[in-house]
Amino acid sequence: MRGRDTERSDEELAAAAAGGDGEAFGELFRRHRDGTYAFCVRLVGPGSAPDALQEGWLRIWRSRATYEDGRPFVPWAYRIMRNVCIDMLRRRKGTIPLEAEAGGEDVSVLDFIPASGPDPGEKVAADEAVRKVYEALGRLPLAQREAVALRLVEGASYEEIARVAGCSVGTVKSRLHYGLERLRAELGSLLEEWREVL
Amino acid sequence: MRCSRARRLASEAAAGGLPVAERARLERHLGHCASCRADFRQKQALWAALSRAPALPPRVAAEVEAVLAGAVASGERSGAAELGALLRALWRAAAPVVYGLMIVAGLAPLVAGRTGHSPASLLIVGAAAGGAASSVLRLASSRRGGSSAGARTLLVRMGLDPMRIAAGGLLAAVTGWVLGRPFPPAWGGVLGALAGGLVGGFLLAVGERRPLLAGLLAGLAGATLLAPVLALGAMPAPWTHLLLRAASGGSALLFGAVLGGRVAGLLRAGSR
Repeated sequence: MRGRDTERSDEELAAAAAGGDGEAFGELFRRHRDGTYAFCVRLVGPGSAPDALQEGWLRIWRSRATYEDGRPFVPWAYRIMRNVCIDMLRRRKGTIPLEAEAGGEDVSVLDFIPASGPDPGEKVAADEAVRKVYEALGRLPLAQREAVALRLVEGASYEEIARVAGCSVGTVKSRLHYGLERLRAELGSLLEEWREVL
Repeated sequence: MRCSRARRLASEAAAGGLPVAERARLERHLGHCASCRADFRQKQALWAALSRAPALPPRVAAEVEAVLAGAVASGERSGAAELGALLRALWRAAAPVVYGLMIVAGLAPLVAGRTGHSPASLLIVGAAAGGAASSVLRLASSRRGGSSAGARTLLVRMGLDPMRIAAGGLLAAVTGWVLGRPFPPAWGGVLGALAGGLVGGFLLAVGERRPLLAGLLAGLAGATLLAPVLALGAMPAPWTHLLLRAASGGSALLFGAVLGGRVAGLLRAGSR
């Protein structure tokens, strides 16, 4: 069964899941869990990302009847994920900083998928730099953070991002630009130092 | 190029997706502007850091997978999502008729003025014909995706081929129209529709796993196409007459198609 599932496209699996096929849904989760988790971390922060991931995939399963056969699965699923994250943020009334929430888990445990072959010393420095960048990302206005997080979804075009975010392509580009400008202004010269290790 | 424009393009270039021509313009500007060059370098470093994906802890992955397995086992559904899907499916079914009605409503006064028919009767017939033709064509063309994908999915789950259903309906309608023409208009339409339904329904149902259902659906598809044509054949007439004529023609075709499906089923059972 697993062998057959790896040959099927996301859309074929999603159509099967819409008909109640739990195995097809499980395969979709395994394929996209890393990407959707990274998206949740970028949007709601690492403290709330596991809850957002679980709630998002539960909502995808419960909403399976709304999936239309043949439609691209990834934009449909990320639209649901995005709505779950935004609902979560609204419930908390504001942006979620990367720092540990009161009584929450310590964000220093957050680990990153390593870049290709850095030596151990460079890896520590790179992880530290990435952590600082993610902290700054958590302080961006939600619309800009959303544009950045969606652009980082593998293979997402500006048109798809616009459909998921419910705005025009021009607005997506503007939000991305102002988001990057703000991060660059905040992190300033540190970025020049980090270029060697990133 | 102004620096403000170059910085905007630098953001797009750092995040990927800047077209080649724009990229060349940006690079020409960066060649002589140290400030924008530094801006671009910093954004590239920024994007490299953001692209480092946080790793999903195995414990979290296992916990979420277990919760999802529970939801799958209990067959959880969202009532609101189901209702939304149903409303969208209803709109998809009704939309061609509504659009047909809007178009015909605009044309009816013009046509009525030329032919002497009542605008109400033209409105009914035109909307039904436009809606039916549009629905059948969309159903036939929606092999993947498209607005009739829901109907296609439904048919496939019922073990039926939507393309064959649409083609069978079209065949029944055309056959009914051709066969009915030599007869007097008063009952030729009904006779032709019955024969067309029989032919279309039988031919379609022979290869289907559920012949009776296939005949019924082919009859419905054919009736929605043929009935307005038969009604128009009764012009000039009051709209009640048109409706009666359309209903009798459509019913005859539907009955013929169901009968054809039943005959196909019996023949297939006998040959086993």
